[in-house]
Amino acid sequence: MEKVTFTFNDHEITADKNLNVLEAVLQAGYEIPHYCFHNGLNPAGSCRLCAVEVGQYDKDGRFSMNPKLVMACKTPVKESLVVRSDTEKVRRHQKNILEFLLLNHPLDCPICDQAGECYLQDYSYRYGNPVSRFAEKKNKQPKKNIGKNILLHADRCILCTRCVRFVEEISGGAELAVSKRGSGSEIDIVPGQGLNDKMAGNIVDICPVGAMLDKQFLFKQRVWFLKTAESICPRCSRGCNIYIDHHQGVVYRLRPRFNPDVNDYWMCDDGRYGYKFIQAPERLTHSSMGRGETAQPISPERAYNEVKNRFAPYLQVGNGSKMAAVLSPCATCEEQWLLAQWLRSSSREVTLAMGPVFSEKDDEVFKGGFKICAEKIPNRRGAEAVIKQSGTELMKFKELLEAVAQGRFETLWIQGGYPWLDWWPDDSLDKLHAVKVIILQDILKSKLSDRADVVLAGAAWTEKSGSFINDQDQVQPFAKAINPPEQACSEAEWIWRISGRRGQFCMETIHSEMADIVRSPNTPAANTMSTT
Amino acid sequence: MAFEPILTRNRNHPEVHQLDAYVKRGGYASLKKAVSMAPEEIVAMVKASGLRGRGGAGFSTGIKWSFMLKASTDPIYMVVNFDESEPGTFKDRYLAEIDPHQILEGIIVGSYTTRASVAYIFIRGEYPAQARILQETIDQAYKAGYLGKNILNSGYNLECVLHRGAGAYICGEETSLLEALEGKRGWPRIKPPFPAVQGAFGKSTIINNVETLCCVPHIINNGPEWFVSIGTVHSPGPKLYGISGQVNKPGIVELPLGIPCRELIEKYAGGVRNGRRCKAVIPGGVSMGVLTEKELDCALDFEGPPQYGCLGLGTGGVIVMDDTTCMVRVLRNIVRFFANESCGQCTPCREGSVWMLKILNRILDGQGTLKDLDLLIELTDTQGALVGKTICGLADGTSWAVKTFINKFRLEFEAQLLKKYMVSKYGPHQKRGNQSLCLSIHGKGNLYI
Repeated sequence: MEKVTFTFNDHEITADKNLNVLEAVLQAGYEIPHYCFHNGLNPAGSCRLCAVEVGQYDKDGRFSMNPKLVMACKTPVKESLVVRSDTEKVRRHQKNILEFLLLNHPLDCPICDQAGECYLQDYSYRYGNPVSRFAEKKNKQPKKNIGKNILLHADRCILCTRCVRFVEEISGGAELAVSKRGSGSEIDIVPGQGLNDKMAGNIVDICPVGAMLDKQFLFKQRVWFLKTAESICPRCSRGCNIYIDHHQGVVYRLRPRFNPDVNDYWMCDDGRYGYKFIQAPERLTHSSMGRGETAQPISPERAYNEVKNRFAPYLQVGNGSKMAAVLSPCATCEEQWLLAQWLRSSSREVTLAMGPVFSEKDDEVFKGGFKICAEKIPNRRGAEAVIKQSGTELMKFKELLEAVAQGRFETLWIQGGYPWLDWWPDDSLDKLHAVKVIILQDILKSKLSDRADVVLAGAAWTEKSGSFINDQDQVQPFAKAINPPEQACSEAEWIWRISGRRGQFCMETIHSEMADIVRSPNTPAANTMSTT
Repeated sequence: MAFEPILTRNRNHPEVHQLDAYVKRGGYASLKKAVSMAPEEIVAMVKASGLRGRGGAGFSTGIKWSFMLKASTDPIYMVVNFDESEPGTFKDRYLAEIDPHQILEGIIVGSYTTRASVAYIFIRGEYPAQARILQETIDQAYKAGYLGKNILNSGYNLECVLHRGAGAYICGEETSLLEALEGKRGWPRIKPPFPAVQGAFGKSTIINNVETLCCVPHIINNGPEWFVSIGTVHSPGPKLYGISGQVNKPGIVELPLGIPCRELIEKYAGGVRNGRRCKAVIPGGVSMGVLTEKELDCALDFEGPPQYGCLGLGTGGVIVMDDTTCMVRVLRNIVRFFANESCGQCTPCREGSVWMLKILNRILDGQGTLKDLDLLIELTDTQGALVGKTICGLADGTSWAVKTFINKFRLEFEAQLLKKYMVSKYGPHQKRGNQSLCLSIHGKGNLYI
């Protein structure tokens, strides 16, 4: 891409030629306040806040500033363009626009979910007037229920029309429109429709004020208490880059994180609201021992000893063929690799299978190119890569079930971690009686956990770090957001200890050993450009 | 020598609604002449005539058309702006009623010159009768071979489509007109790209006012020199003035550009009604500002009104107000119009116009202060919050009205502010509320008691 160089408030900026001034300035790390512009949408140029003064040299080399303000979001960058946002004229204009926007905006910040991450608050403090000259009655538009998860407080709306452009350009449903005219304008849903598609939740993220509200987050937590971790969404093999917002060990919401190669600025509602299993009542908080009725909770220490005692005989030479391990496509590459590497190093005859891969018929692709993959698990490619590297044939889950039914295995090590209950097929549960020792690592209590000899309580993906390999073969690392339940720990840590490795659990060691699979754990992670 | 009407020459010949009669009176002669000429020649001719757009902005039609010679999209569109939504303006309606074929002739010549293959006539929704007339005219022209394929054996094809708007002031603005024509919400577009590059349906589009196009056949018939001889040096040609308000003879009158406002009122509109004094005149649509009685010598051409602080000539819709008119109420009415008609896209216009309306309402309720007037002036100042800060010119129009009204009739606004004081001092002895109180203040001329 051809580059041009221009100046912004005396800073020299080099940017791609096809950008507009606002994009280029934001990319360079400076700020011009803006509302209607969003990086993922076409510019509208209607909020009028990103106005700047521009000047250029004419053919004879004389410099002149344009008499009129121009909108940075609608002005293409040009070689040796001079852009100023620090002049008296621009400042006064910004003050005026912010005053206008606040005329009819209710000052209900104390009960507004957006407070703390509201661009109307931020810009008003940074660029606005300390007092309003408005002495009239404010317009009051209604509050509307516009979708399964979305609430619209139209009185807070500043009519940036990001949401309208989003449903037109990205999700493609075009359910939203501006109705009425002038100061009475409000965002409204097309009659007879609801904002119920799988992209709807993004509208809450892109709304710069508290007009679009997430019903599931409504009044749950003040945003300034939230801490944020960078993570990857586990609900399909796309692996959207996300932020996990949490406070005191509770996850309150997920938000998309910009990654141009994967999810752009968006995520789907399946992922957005699909984290609730980590707080489900079925969550395994203790390890346990014994099948069915006889099951009893045990301490991590006891669990460690039990597994060692029961499993040790099979690790001896000659017993490898009686042993099978099910690597979970919901586990991280590191966990899959630790288990495979440990069992393979003790015996070359051990069978490595992969857990069931749940899949719908087709990918869902939206108008703006966003894709929800048919595969509803995050890391099938990770498991395949691990098994390939270990030098064995991957046994398909179906074949594994048949082999179990035939009584080929005396012991099974099962990795679970699926976000739903009863992922193990019901009709083959009874066949598990023939297996002498079943060790299960899982996070939810299920019929399968009733049949395991030792259940090791594991960590959900929010509670551990690791990496997934997505449908485009990109290795995507993610960080731990919250702690697992007190008596549980991540699958990798269990195996680290049980396999007899010394010292503290260390992710770097694993990465250096499994370098072929996770070439660089920090690869295509997103750059953290402003998404709002 | 009395001026012979040109555009309205057929006003006493209602039979010209029929194509034969129109041709008999010299109609479609210019089209026959035009198709034998190259588009470049016609553009040069129109340029030489100095014809300026009659829709309000007064941009040179010849120059506008010359942009189209470079247009390379296929197809090219001609859009005729028949939205005529400026209050006080009804000239295009009159043209459609008296001589619809003249409009069509102008459209066909204009389309031929700009090589347009489809001409859209965007007529405002409130003109159903005029739309019917035009549709009949179009049908007649199709039958006679003035529209359709191979017009007059020139090999030139033109389709003509009549599109009725849905009744929004903003759709008179050319880019929002295009949006509405495309079936979208009538929101103005940001320029560039200009319509000449990317207009209707993404194609090069020429947009002209009805009256502008009506001038074109006459220029081609009589030559640019003849056209230049009418009117003033910078504003040549005839103009339809629509006079309304408190005059004895409201209506349309065609005169050369540059006629002084006073002469227009006294001589052609029969003077102010009931022998009263003229107090204020809006020269061309409410967005242009206001002229006081003392400024009535203003020449009504494109250069005249700006010398008196107005935005321009506008559409030539002259609104006359006599000395019984309360200017505060007039301004409130104007601002209410703009607040209602603001499309809501740009923040300053959407919020600012309603803010100003609320302030004016408060002043009329007797709750205003002098600070309010200063605030209104500050908002509407050329360096203020509205002028030039929006996509289209609607906010400029609002500002200009507010600014000129307050500046030129400041005493009256201050008198209105005194109302509360007066009522508290003398009691509400005026029976008819606000209006009569205004009148009593203004009528006696003793503002500060």
